[in-house]
Amino acid sequence: MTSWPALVDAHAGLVWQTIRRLLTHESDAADCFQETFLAAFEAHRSGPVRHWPAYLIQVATHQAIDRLRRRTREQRHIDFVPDFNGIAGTSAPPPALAEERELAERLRRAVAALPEDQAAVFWMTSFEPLSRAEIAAALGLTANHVGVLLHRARRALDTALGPTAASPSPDSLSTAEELTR
Amino acid sequence: MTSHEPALADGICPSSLVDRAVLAVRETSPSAPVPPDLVAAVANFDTPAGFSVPQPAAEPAPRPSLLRLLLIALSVAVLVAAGAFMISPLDRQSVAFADVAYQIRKIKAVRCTIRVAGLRDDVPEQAGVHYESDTGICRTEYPDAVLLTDPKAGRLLMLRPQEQVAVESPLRPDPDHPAASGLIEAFRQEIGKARAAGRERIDGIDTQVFELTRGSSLETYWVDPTTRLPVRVEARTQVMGRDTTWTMDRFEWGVSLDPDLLSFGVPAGYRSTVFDPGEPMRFDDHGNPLIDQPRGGRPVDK
Repeated sequence: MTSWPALVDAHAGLVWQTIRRLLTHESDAADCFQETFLAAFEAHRSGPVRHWPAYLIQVATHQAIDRLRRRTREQRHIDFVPDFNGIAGTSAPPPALAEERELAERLRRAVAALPEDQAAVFWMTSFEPLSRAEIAAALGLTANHVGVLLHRARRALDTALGPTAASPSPDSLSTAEELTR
Repeated sequence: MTSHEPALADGICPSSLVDRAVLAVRETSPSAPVPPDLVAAVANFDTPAGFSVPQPAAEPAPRPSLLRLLLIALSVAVLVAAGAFMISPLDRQSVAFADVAYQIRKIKAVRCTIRVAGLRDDVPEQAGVHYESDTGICRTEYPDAVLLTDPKAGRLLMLRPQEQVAVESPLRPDPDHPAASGLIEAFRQEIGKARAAGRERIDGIDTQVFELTRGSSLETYWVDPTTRLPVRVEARTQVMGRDTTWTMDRFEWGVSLDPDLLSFGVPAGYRSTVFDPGEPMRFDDHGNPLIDQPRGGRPVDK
């Protein structure tokens, strides 16, 4: 069995990446990282964890969304001034990069305004290397329920972000198909 | 956006704004690796009972010898002595609070600016503040008026240079109406009740953030760890049913203030108006006393 330090070592990067997508301020991310591992550590006492990556991603996503939600509610400093440290080199020219950052911020704020389960499902589906079944298992839901939540989240985000052009995304289509089955 | 193209195979629909936003998050999120000290911190959590590390079988305890008892006593003494010098995270926080409190209490006078947002629908009001801690006198310079308050003497003087009018009144502080001097004094007196709320970079300074709840007001103080003095103060509270934000910054701590600035003397040529003590003053949306339609006031020409 894996020791706790080895477990941390194996998954720290994954958790950090998950948190950093949601929280652009490093100090917030650091706090959230510790809260995630503390929660994971405490939760593990009550029983074995079948799929550590899925579990940690789920905890990190919830923690980060919760923090983002609080920050957004407080309408404070966070995320209105992105932390430019550590942003990867990108080929996009500055105006396009600025536009992308603004769009990314709008998405984070819109996700923070979603109901918690929708926010978690949308974020994990969009960014994490997990199948829908793994996400469902991590969240204690059925795959169909994940599909429904994802559909609702995307519809709410579409409204929040503004008018979209033309066709819905493949994700929306597949979810819509699930709904009509 | 050409940078989006490679992700099309990822199930992304470029015509969907949500999908474009997802790509934007992917492409602009910080990609620096997790700081090693952070990993070390969480890796050091104690292993809970029953966690994956196999526990060795318990051995029967050896019969304590006199030497063993002496060693145990010595170890306990060493641990107690070491504990006295060790600082727990909570204590470290207390040290920081005490240090900040010590620094700020040494300061006798400060200049800064204060802005109010949410009280009016148009641009936030900005004013210059001069505050002297020994006397408690505060001078707030608005674009069209000067407000002097003396909480110890319980008086207020409003000067309107354009109208050449001075309004004198008893000071009736509204606890829900933040004042610059009140915020500074709150921090001076109540920093021990504040919560540490992480760090944040303000104007190039990696500040330590403290939060303080007083009544319905949530106050945040960004403190420069070098000077141990705030570089920004923000109060969020409801005033007249509106969510307002009072922000103070551009601090100049420990300045020497001209005594004339804090004088309650009415400048020559001003028409002076006083209000009966029993009559509450009315304030406009900016928090300024209403002087155009005084109620119960008694105009006095000095």
